[in-house]
Formats: sequence, structure tokens, C-alpha cells
Amino acid sequence: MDQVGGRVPAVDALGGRLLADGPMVVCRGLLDDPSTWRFSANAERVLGWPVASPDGLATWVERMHPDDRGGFEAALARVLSGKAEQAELHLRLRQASGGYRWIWTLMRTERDDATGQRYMVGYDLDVTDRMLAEERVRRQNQELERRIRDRATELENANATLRAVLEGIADPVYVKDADGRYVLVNSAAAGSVGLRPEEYVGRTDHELFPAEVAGHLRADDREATASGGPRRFREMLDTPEGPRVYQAVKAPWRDATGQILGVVGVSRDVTEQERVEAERRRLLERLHDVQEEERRHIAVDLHDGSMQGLAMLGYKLARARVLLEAGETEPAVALVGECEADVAGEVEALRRTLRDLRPLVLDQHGLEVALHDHAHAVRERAGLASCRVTARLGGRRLDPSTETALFRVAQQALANVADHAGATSAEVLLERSAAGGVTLRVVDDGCGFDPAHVQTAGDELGFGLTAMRERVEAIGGRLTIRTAPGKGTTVEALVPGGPGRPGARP
Amino acid sequence: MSRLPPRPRVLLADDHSGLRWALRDLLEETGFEVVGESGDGADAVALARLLQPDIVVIDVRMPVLNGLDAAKLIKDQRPATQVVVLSAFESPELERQAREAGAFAYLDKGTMAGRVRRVLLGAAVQAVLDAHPLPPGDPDPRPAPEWRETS
Repeated sequence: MDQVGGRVPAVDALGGRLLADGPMVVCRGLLDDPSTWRFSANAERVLGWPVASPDGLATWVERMHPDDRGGFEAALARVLSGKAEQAELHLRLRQASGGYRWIWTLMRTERDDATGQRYMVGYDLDVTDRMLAEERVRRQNQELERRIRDRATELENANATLRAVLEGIADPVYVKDADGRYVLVNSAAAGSVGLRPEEYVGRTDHELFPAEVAGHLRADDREATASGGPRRFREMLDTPEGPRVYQAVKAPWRDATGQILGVVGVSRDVTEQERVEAERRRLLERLHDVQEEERRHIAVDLHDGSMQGLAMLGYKLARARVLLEAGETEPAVALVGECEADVAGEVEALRRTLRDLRPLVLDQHGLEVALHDHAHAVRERAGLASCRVTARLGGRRLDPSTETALFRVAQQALANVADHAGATSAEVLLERSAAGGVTLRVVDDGCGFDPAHVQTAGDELGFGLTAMRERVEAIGGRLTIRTAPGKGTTVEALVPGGPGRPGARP
Repeated sequence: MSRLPPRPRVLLADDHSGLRWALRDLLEETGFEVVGESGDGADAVALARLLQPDIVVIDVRMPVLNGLDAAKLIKDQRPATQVVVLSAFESPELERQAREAGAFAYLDKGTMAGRVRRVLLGAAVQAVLDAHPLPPGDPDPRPAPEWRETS
């Protein structure tokens, strides 16, 4: 008993010293009388105000941060009333310097087993440094999270921009990794093979295209990455709309360090462009053919006609001279008369050649007059019963290229009538169409023909029909031919009406 | 030594009949005898064989057989017959081909009638010489005939 009783003050003394030097403040007092509450000796050092306060609780509350008072008083009330055995909370206490420090407080009630008396015990620990550290960490975390959020937003925005750019490009755009797997495509790329972008991504060319095509595409990829810069390729794909030709520009896809990750490409569909180009070349060739054909025609006319005719005249005149030298006046005079007739015939032949070459009357007096003259000549030459021209343009001139084209069409159509149709009569009609264009119609009552047969035949008639069609289409018009064997032929050219101008009347 | 026949015999081949007749009348008037006329090359070869003329005047561009091929056949049949090619083309290459085919001369149709006549006279002399070659070993005392054109 004594030993124990003697040891208690020693333990108390040791406890008091530990408390005085330690970081934790302890307070103890009667449960129902705060004036009895006493603080450990380290209270002033730890809490920042003198321990010997007559009213510890009032000082506490007065020094407490106003925001923390409510929580503290509620917790204290619960403990004092016995509703809770203990309560712990963080609160801020004002220091002499005016600043606050964070204090962790644990309040609990204890019962003295010997007396049955109940005490209030409080433990207080300055946790400002920990709280500040925690706060710092929390703030850092928040900052980190905010940065991550910003970065994610930035990425999303960049992604959206990239998407918008990709989708704004009408040409197929794609990115493939080193294995040839598509990692990014726009709708134009996917749509070109009838897929959605998400169906396209993740696949390789070998999964999307026939082996031969895929092989070509990959070979181009390799060439582009090996060359290090953008390269141009002509690539062909089978699409749901049929085979298409693409002009592809491919370049290596690199990361920020320059490492090659795959290939990026843009492919422009040049199918139509190539078709138009080929058509243009074909038309140009045809134009040259037609020009050569016309020149040949003229050369043959001059060779077989004027050349021979003039040589013949030379011989006749030479003979006339011989006759005259011999005093044979009568046959010489007859011969010279013959020469006069020959000259007239040659002049007429030359005139015809010139008219075919370029009817000057067309330039000077317009299409109507030229058509009338030409129809007259064809009627004489081909022995037609009639070759009537009806023009309803009110004497207005068309623009020169339209007049030339329509004249050539009529000339060709009438040449066909004369050479192939076996017709007895033909009619040429020229009028304004309902849509403001001009219609030229050449109708004959001849034998007609099977259009399907002529389309494939490379004969003179087919050549002429093609020449007419090209002539009309070259000025934006359309040529229609209605015919059948035994049913005559109607050639109709509908061309845009140029700005009319007053005609020069003959 | 034979003498020139009074009228060299000429065959005319040209598909342009007006020209052919005019040339015929001129030649008849100036000392030639036109023994035959033809409008195509094949006909001309057959007539040349039949008529054995001194001279064949032939156009290049003709139906059935062109004048150059006809000239070769005519010369093969009878080397003494002289072929004068009359062409609408002034072409050194065609002239070369005509010479190769054995033609005596190549004239374009722009040639004045007087010169045509002089060339035909030369051809007539050549025809006579070719038809009567000198016996071998007997040196020819005559100067070689040389027909040079003067315009």
C-alpha cells in the first residue's frame, strides 16, 4: 500500500514533467464546474496563452475562431451531458501575435472509481504544421487535378479541332501505324469504300482491299516513309461506285522526337478529272483528224480539179498557138473558145472548193443566207427535187462560233443527204427554241439508216455524224438524230442562243 | 544506122480524160502519133505490150495500178519503150522512184507544153537507139546522145 502510495506522487511528478516538455496539453476538472478545469504546464507554450486563467473555458471560447465555436460548443455539450462519451475535433485558436493555430482537441469524461466523481478531461495538440502540410498537399492535389482537367480539355479541344479539320476536308485523309493499321480516318476516307470511320480504324489495307491493291498501297506507304518527305502516288481502288483513281500524297507520320510511327496520307479522287482530260485529248486528236481530213479533201479537190484542168488548158493553148502559127485560124479559134468554157468550169470548181473551205457569205451575211446558198448548191449538185430552207430568227445574227457550228452541221447533214440518203427532197429549218436556244433541223425523205449500225462503223457516214455531234457539243449543244431504215433522217442540233445582234441583210 | 521514124508513136495514160485529150490533140498537131489512150495503169501496161509504142506518157496517180508500177512493167516487157512520167506532184523523191523504175523522164504537170514536147522528142530518139543496139565489138563512132533540158 505504502509502496504504491509512495510511488503515485513520483509517477505524477514524472507525468507532470513529461507533460510540461511534451507537445500535448492536458486539462482536467469537475464535470459540472469549468472553473475547476486546470491545464498542464505546457499549455502556454503549446496554446499560446497563460495557463493560470481563472476561467479556462471562457478563454478558450473567446480565443476560438468564430467559425469553429459552434462545433466546439455542440461537441462539448454532448460530452458534458453524457450523450457522447468523447468528442474530437479540429479548431483554430488565436495567438498573441493575432494569427491562428490549428489545435486538435479530444474531450471525454472520466469517472473516479474510488469516489464515483466524474471528471472532464481534454487533450489538445497543436497540429498546425500537419494541417498546413495537409492543406498544402490538398492544394497541390487540387492544382494537379485542375491541370489534368485543363490538359484533358485541351486535348479534347485539339481532338475536336482535328476532327473538324479532317471532316472539313472532302478528300480521304488517313493515318496508318507502322503495321499498316488505320489509326485515324475521316468520313471521306471511310465513305469511299462504303464504311463508317469507326469500322475503318483498326483494320489494315489487306483486310479492306484485295491483296493486289493492298500490296500496291503498302508499297507506296513504304516508299513515302523511306523517302522521308511527302510523295505523290497514283492509286486505284474498287469502290461501291466502281473503280476510282486517286492522286495520293503520303508522308511519314512522326512523333515529337522524329521517330516514324507510320504514314499519313491524303488521296484526291481524280477519276473524273482524268476522264475529262482523256476526253479532251481524244477531242483534240479528233479535231486534228477532222482538220487533216478537211485539208485532204481540199487537196484532192485542187489536185483532181484545178491542177488537171489548168494543165489541160495549157496543152490546148499550146496547140492553138501551133495551129495559128500554121495559119489554121478556124480550128484555133474553136480551140480558144473551148478554153474559155474550160476556164469558166475551173472558176466554178474553185468557187465550190472555196465555199466548202470557208463560205465567206457566212461571215459577211450570216447563217440564213449561207444556208440558202448552200441548200441551193446541194439541190443542183445532188439533183434533189427540193431543198428548202426556212429560217425564223427574224434576221438576227448569232455569235460567230454558233453560226459556224450550225453551218457545218447543216453542210455535213446535207452532204449525207446527197451522198447516202438517195432522197428526193430535204428541208432545213432554223428557229429559236422555247428555252431561248437555237434549233437547226435537217430533214430528208431518203432511205434512212440503222443508227446502232453506224455508231460502230468507222465509215464516212459515221465519221460525218461524229464530227457533227462533236461540233455541236463543243459549243454546249446537243445533237439528236432520228432515223430508221426506209424512214428518212432528221438531224437536229439544239445549241445555246448567243446574244443576237442585228443581221447584215444581203 | 537507122533513121528516125517520121512520127514517134505515143501511148497516153491518164485518168483525167479532158487533160488526156488536150495532150493528144497537141501531140498529134506537133509531129507525134498517138496510137492509144488509157485511163488506168493496168490497161496502159496491156496496151503497151500490144502496141509497142516508142513512148508511154503516164500519170502517177491512176486507178488499178499506179504509174510508177506500170512504168516498171512496161520497161520489163519492152526496154526500148521510153516511159515519161507526168505527175501533179513536184517531188524529187517520186522523180527518183520513177528513174529507178526505168522512166526516161519525170515531168510535173505545170511543165510548159513546149518543154513536154522537147522531152518527148528526146525520148523518141532514145527509143530508136534502144531498139537498134550496135553489134558487140563495133566501137560506136557516134557521140552518145545527151538530152539536156533548156527551159
